Amino acid sequence: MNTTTQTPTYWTDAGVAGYNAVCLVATGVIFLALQRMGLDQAALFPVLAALLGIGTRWSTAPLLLLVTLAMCLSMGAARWLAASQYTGLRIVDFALCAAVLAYLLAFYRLQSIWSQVLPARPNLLEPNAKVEPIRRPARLIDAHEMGWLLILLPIWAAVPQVVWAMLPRESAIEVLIPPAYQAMVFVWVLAMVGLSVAGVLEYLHRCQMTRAEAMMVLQDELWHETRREQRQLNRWLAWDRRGRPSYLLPTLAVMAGLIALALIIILLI
Amino acid sequence: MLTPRGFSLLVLLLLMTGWSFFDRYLLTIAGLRVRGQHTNVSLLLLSLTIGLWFAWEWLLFAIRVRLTLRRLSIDRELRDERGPLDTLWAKQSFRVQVRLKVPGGLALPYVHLEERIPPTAALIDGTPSYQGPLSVGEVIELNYQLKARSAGRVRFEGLQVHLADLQGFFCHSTFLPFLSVHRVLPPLADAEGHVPTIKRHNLLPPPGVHRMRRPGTGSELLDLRDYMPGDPPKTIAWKVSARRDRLMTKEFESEVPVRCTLFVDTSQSMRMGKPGETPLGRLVEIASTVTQASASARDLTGLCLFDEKGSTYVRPARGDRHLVRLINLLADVAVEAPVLEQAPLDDLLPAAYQLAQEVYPELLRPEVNRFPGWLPWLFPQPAWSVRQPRVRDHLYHWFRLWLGSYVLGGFILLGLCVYGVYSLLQTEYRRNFSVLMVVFVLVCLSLLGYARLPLAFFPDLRRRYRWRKQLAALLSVRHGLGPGGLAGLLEDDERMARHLQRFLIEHQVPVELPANLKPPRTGKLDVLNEVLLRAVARGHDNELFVLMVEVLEVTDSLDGLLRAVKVAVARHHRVVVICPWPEGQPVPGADDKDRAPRGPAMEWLTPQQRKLHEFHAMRRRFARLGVPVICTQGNDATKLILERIERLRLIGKMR
Repeated sequence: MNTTTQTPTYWTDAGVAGYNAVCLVATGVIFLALQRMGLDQAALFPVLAALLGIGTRWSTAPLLLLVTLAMCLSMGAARWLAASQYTGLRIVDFALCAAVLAYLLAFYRLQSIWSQVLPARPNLLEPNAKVEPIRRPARLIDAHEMGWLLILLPIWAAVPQVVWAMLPRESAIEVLIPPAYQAMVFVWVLAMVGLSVAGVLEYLHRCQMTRAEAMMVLQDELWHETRREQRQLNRWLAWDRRGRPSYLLPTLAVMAGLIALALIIILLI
Repeated sequence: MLTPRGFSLLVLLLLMTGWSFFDRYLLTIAGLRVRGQHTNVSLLLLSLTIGLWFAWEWLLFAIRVRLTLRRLSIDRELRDERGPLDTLWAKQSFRVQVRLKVPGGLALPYVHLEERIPPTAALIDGTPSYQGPLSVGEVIELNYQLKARSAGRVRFEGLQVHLADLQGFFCHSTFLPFLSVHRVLPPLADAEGHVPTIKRHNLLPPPGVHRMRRPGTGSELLDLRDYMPGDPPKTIAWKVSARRDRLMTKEFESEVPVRCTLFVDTSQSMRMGKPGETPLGRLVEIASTVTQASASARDLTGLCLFDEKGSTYVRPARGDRHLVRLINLLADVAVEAPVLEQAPLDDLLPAAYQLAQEVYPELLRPEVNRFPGWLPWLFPQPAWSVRQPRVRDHLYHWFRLWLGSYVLGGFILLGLCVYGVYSLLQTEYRRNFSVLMVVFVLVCLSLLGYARLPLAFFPDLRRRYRWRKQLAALLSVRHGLGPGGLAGLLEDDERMARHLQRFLIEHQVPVELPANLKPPRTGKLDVLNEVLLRAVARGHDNELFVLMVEVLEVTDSLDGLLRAVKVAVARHHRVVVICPWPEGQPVPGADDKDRAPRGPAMEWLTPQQRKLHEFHAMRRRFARLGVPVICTQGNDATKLILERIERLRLIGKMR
């Protein structure tokens, strides 16, 4: 059985070529947006990171892109920060967000084709054996996939601006400064939504449990509650079946250690 | 559910979001810049864009998994060129057609399906896997061709399903069980194995009836003897009587059917090896061929399956139903693998855990089968409850005491670091950012190194403890061991080994056990002696006993068997011994004398030479009784054995 697929080259496959083009266009937009923000030479670092990823298929390139972008936006965007309290639609940020998201989506989809789409499971019987990764075949890329990517980009770039507009500008608690207050509100909202969704999903999971899974839950709970007592009882039973434990080996090891220690001390003296 | 790729992106996004809120303050504290107290909106928007999209993808993936996965339905059909199959034949190929349907739910962007090929079958053609999207209402079809390796059973478990998103951030692996077990009958006898069933000459007896050189009621003249009072007058040879001037009587041959009884050794030692390559599998093939050949010659065929504990005996009979019964018995007995209590857990655990990961991934998830990470550190298995403790088991048990002092040392180190940093901040170096950064990095690295150092000790023992706990929980539920089963399996090595082997045997997973590990061979010869004597006592004239038994390992306790064989031979039965010979070793032949020297040089022999020597010694002992011993190895063994059996029949005719 052969689940591996031929690694496609850059431009031979239409789907791969399309994603490469998306990556390149996104890199260009990132560069222009950073230029518009007033970053001149510093804008080259994220662009170089992005191009490095496209050129070498380096899987860490998107993370490097994000880190360099974060550093650029924190350290060098002084002029842009002056206007950061503007509450309307931020066109340059919109373009930057859409471009970065496009790059990430396209690059990681390419990584699924080049590198692996599912993490390889190690072979426990032969730990040194090479495990062939499961790659997504390039032939599976279709026009719908690319189309949906392009349609969703502006939506996902616009949603954070709405969220940002909904966050309070002034702190309702005098002690807290605005960023801390905003962060607190944001985290609370995120946590509430996350917990609700997780609760619903967990409930769905419990509803769909099989009999064996439900028995495992009960058994596990019982074991965790009575683990200490059960362990003692069963170890005694095993010990009784096997006979008295032999302390010969540990005793010999300790004696050998003591003798070695005494010899070292004597030699040192 | 998160892959390493998704996890790294998530961590970075969280850091970026936090940084976007407080970067002004953090940079100010670091002394880099003080430019107002605003949030970095651009970075925040960027983090939110990616973060919200990531969260949405995560949610969508989780809903897809919950809603769609359980609705998948599977259908499997086995067929050959003549139509659907239920019972298979060994060494013959068949096609498997698996259909997967998504009746409802949501479409899945990327699915990797893989049928688990039974270990007792070999893939010949086709691909039992699929990868691609899966939309609602779609039917995915897998088509492939298999060949059953040997007689026994073929067990299809179901489909492995791996889901992922297109970016590879999330994945979910599960198993769709669709169990079907099919009996694999031994291969059909080939052309050489068939005995002609048509009478070629009128003088020959009808098929199934053989002439025997003992006085009886046949049609062929056997001898002439003096007339005894009571002899029927029609048997008087009048011409001879006139010539000799005394009454002579004609004696005729007997015409009796040959009853062939096969004694098949099904003990544990015969089951060692890979599925399809065990000595028992080979013997079952031969027994099946001999059975079919005997049935085609209309001979009565019986079967006796024996092991260390007992025997199953089927009286000789003929007919199609009887033949099918014997072949089914042979197929059923060929499937089981040995269960050895002394099997090492180190060999069983990885195989069983890998199987559980493939077939029961849902029962290994932390939600239903959690393993506390501190357990192997604080409460390791003591060496005195390990079956065969090694030095490292002793050290591992005492490791926790050392760990306590190590943790204490860690606190002291942490205190020293804090004190050192505090002292540094009191000096002029506090204004030097570079020095502060170097010190910070050094402190972090030393604390990290100190914390990670214990991980270098006994990582495999901790990993195996985790496997063992999770497998104990799984086996306790599967084998119905009750509430205390988990703890019992976790602490008792023998019990765990037994249940692990049962688990592996159920799923037909082969395990390579150490070569020095041999199952007990005592008892099977006693059982064989008993059933052979019983068969002799029940038997009629002209019986043929075929003993398919591994006697090379028990050559020193053959006396009982030789006595039973002597009884059978004394009752004018014929006996042949068929002995499985290890694959890959030269079959004993006429030129073995150089390879198997005798005498005081025995201790200098290689194991192979010693085996040859033992074989020749054993063959000589049987030869004194007129019993041939045949080795089974390779494809020609069946033909050879049939020829020998046929020759035995002829000897009966010509004697």
